[in-house]
Formats: sequence, C-alpha cells, structure tokens
Amino acid sequence: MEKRYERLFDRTTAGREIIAPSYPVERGRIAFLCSIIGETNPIHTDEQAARAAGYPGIVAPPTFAQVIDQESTRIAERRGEQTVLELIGGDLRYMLHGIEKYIFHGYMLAGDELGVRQQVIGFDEKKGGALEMARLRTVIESPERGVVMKVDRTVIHRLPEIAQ
Amino acid sequence: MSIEIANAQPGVSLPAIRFGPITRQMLALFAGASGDHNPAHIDIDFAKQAGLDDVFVHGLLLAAPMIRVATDWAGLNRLETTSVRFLSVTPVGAEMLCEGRVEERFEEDGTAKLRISLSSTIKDGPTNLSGEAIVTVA
Repeated sequence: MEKRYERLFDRTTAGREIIAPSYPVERGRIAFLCSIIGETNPIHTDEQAARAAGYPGIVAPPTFAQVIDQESTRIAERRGEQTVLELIGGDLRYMLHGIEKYIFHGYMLAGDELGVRQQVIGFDEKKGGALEMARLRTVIESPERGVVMKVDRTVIHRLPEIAQ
Repeated sequence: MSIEIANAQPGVSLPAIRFGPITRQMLALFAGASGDHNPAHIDIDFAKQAGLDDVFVHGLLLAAPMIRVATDWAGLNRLETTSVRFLSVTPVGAEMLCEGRVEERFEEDGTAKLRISLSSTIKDGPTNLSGEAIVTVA
C-alpha cells in the first residue's frame, strides 16, 4: 500500500511576506563571528583597512547574514510577533536545512540598522511526499543604500508517515 | 591577486583552506556568535534525547571557511552570489579541507565573471558541503 505522509507546511502561505525587526550591525558582533570562523581579513575588524579596501567602514563577512536572520527572529519572538517558520508551520523536530544561497547587492556595514523582510517563495515535495520543502527568502536592506543581500534557503521536513 | 583573477581560466584551483579540528568549545562559541542556539549543536543531553549519538556541527560554521576560499582569492567586493549545500552531518572533532576551482568564465550584462565550484571534505571522511560562487573579474 502506498505510504502517506502528514503534511506540516501551510502551503497557503506561499507569496506571503513578513516585515521582521530590523537589526543593528555592531563591530563587536562582527569581530566575534570572525574570530570563531577563522576569518582574519582586517576589513572586518579594522576601520583603516576597510577604508583602504574601498568601504566606508568595517564590513561584515558573508555568513553574517545568518546573525541578522537569527537575531531579527529573536527580537520578533521577544515582541510576540510571528516568525516566518511559525507562519509556514515549521516543526523543528522534523526539520533539515537544504540549500542556502547568498546574493550580494552591496555590503553590510558596522553601524547599519538593516531592515529584514522574510518571504515565503513556495513549496515542493519529493520522494512521494516523504520530504516537503519550503523555499524562503530573507531580504536585507539598508535604508540608505537599498537591498544589500538576499538569502534564499530551503527548509525541509522529513515527514512522519501516517499509520494505515 | 587581481592579475590572477583577470587571467583565470577554467581548471584553476584556488588556494585551499584547512579548518578545525572542530571542538566543542568552537560549537559553544559559534552558537553565541551566530545566534543559532539550537541545542542539537551544543547540548549533548538534548542530542541524546533526540536519538543522536552526540551533538553535530552547525551547517553555517562549516559554510564560512568554504565561502572564504572564494573571498580570500577574489576579495569580498567581487563576490556576487554564493550557495552552499549540506551533504552530510559533520561530527565534533572534524578537520576540513575546503577547496575551490574555476569552472567557467562567462560574460553577463557586459561584465566578465567566473563560476567557482566549492567543496569541503572531512579528513578521512566524506565531502560534507558543496557549493558555488560567482565572482566578477573586474
């Protein structure tokens, strides 16, 4: 008998957007992240080096986008605002990360207050419904410079089988 | 470095980066630095209750040195896009070798660009991440 799976994502949320809390980019947080990931480029810790490289000041490395996403979500939770994972029905018990894609339109600068928008792009499934995927996009925006980054990611549920 | 990029053709290997061995201390600090507090990466009691043998490494901790292969070579300002795919779970103690290779040189919107394939392999173990970076040549 064909296996059936209990769908968890709310597919009616495709196309929705959440204006998430903005995030203040801080030198100390950039330096902390760099120290753990082994990033030693001085543009991330030294103002003069950053300017010499053509930036207006200290800039964050690419994966700092995760810090922005995580902390914006934490602020939302503290305020009782709905997060994008709550919106789509994400369940941490069954969740895996799929592909993560970073698209750069500019830079993230220490001192920026960056706007965050969380978008639900769509849903797919694989393996006869055993896996369901949510395609999400985080848009990170500077009020002065416009969109600086987009992060496209796929979040996967390994679904529980419906007992038959 | 810019002369190297200006002349780079498919087949060129980027300087590799070694990362690790990844310690429990690094996982704890990365949880704080990244904001990802998922206990599956830092709390062995939680991991065992969830049916795992041990905690495992955050995907984005692994992605960082792999992406750095591209930014160390081309410069952050030349990075247009980068993508990461997580292939296998990475255990505590893993030592990684992150590599990149120019796969294609092409032109888009009047700008010369390079497509770089990225990979990360655990020492004496599987490839745990794969990825790609598009960098501008100019």
